Amino acid sequence: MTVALSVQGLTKTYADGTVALRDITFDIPQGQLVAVIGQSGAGKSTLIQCINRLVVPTSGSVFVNGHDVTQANGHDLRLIRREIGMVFQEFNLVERLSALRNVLHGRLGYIGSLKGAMGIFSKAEVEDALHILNRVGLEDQVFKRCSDLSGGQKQRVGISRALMQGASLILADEPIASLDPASSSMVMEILRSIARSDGITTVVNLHQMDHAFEFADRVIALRDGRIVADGSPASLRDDDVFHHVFGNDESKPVQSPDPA
Amino acid sequence: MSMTDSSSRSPQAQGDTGHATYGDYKAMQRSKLRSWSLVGAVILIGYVWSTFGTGFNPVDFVRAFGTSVVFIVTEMLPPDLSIIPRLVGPALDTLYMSYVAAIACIFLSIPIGLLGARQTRLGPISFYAARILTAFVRSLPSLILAIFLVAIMGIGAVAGTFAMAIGGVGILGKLYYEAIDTTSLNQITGINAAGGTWLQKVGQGVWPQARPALVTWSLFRLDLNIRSAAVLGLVGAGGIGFDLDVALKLFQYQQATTIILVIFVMVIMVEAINGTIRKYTL
Amino acid sequence: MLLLSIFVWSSLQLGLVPERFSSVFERSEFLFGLTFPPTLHEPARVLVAAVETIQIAILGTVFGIMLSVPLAFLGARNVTPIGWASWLIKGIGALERAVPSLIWAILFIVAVGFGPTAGIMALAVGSVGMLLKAYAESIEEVPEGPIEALRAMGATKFQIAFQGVLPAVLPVFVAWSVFRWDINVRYSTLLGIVGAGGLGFDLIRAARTASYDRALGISLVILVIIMGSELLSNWLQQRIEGPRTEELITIP
Repeated sequence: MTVALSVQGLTKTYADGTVALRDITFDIPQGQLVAVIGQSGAGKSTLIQCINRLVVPTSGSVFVNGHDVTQANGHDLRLIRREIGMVFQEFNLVERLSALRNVLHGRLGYIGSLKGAMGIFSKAEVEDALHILNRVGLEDQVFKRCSDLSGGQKQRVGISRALMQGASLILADEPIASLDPASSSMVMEILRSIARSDGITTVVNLHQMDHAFEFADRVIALRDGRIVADGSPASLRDDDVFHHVFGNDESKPVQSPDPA
Repeated sequence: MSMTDSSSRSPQAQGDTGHATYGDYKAMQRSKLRSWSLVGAVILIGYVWSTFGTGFNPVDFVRAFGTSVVFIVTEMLPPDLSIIPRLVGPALDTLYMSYVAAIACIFLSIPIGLLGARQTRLGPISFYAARILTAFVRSLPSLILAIFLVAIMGIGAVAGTFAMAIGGVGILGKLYYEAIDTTSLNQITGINAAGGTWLQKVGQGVWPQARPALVTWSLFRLDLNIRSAAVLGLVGAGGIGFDLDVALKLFQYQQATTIILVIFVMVIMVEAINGTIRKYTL
Repeated sequence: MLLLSIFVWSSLQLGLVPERFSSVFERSEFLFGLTFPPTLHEPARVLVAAVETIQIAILGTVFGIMLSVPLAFLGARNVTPIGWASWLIKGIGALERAVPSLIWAILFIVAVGFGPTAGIMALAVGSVGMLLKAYAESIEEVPEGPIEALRAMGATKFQIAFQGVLPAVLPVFVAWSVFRWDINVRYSTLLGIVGAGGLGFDLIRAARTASYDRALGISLVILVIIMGSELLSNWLQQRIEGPRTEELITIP
């Protein structure tokens, strides 16, 4: 079982003195879907942003598939990043362009700067993109402008874009926070199914614990920048420490639909 | 928002499941390319044609720019500030002109704006009349109107004021009815349903929604006026433009610089006033 | 109420009193006699001048746009490679804007002589003044999220600019450019008044010799040109945005 993502002693202190992460360490094997939960401000977003260095950590290291992200130079960073797909809470699509075009953007890290800027994609790439959009159920929205899509559809485009990258690791920062319950479940279901079928390691930030427990292989809980719990949903549910730390915040803690 | 997406523009897919194919993608790309090429061609042809006609090319641009800079530095600086007292009168005239014309223009444009907007129209005749009128007046630069008005009213600021007031209706009227057009129909039909009169509909339904846009455009009109007013003097319609013309004809370039600076200051002043008014009313 | 009192006071200062209007009717009648029917004294000349007017407008606008686009990218705070360029460029823009185009024309005439060159320069400079600010502001308003996403997946700066920023700002760029084109056409017809080429020259000549019928004829030609250009702009905008335009392109 290869280690896809390894985080060692990650610490981040912002300029204003806020300590977002304190000595975070964990390893994630290939193909695992990990849910990171915690209250707002617990450090979830910072953690994700440090993994692909959108935020530069104060100390510690991050290894993706054995490559050191924290020390990589510009060119190498680009190579690493194109293997990491990101899914955002606000979708972050280029609204004026079509769904298909946004998915094709996933290839930008692989093709030449000029070709990519001009939007020239090969037949194979286009058919790939179409195929992916089929997979997530958006075959009829392919040419629609993203601004015309619903939240759930937009997020599916976001996921498609990550798949187009051929990513081995997907980072999802609160992907369902802006969605209604039905769309939320659908998106989580898609994330789980691609993690299983394509063997993609997935790290998902969530503040809804019920979704975390329902869909994830493993749950890591953060509080004040520290890991306070780390294990499979089944084991955690019975952990008193876990409940103690979280009390009765946000969503109801234990509503077990089915054991993970 | 229509549900028909643009895949209706491309040929129906040949895929067995009826889904979009690469062929559709290429078709879309091609039609987009065609649109862009057409626009590009039109612009390019226009450009080449113009270059032949006027004999002006990018090299000329750079050269002219250089010459101008040299000229400004050597002949026009430093500005001759001694004439400022003499300019106070015309400068004030320019400001008055702008202001009076703006107010008059607003009053004239309000009925036109109301009549020409879909939400507040009072029948097809006045609706189309209003729109056509503004289109017509809009195409007539106020300077040209001023030339004719000078013939009627004599040289001086009065002609200029009228020119700006009347000419401005074209632009302001259109901006008004466009702004009213964008107000949501819902709120207005509510008043209709409750049995309100047309006046109430305007006052309670349209005004609150359209207010920011209307105020912005009215202030914009004031802004435009001050610029127009500065130039109207060139045709004898009053304002500081006249003094500028005289100074240049007498080769008094440093005086001209001063006048230009005064105009500059006035424009900035008006913009600043606009800014404050906007902050207080929006 | 404050507005009204200022209005009245200003009017008085200008001498806008009812007595002035008494003679207006007489003079209007007199003028009418002179003005109608409108004639075109030398159609060929007028045609040439009309063509020149349009050409000046085209060149002025094209140069204006070509200068403004790169400068706007340099001046926009979020994409500029040069840090301090932003306020400098915006300052230049403000300067150019505050001086009315016709005054620029006069300036250029004095510098480079009569003729279309001065007119084109004047329009170009005026255009840059307006477009620079509009373009730069629209670039700065591009949502950061999609840009960050593109960066996160390894896209180069070049790719981000063309695939992320450009689609977002294109409609606004086009709207402003077309707006400026309309303005330039208008100004172009007037430039001749000060001698910078085009129809304005014939117009003022006719007026100065009290040949108001000719003046009206030329004015009508100007009218046609301006209305024609508005139709052209509408067509152009439709073509570029495509039939999928849902939002009104409102010019702030």
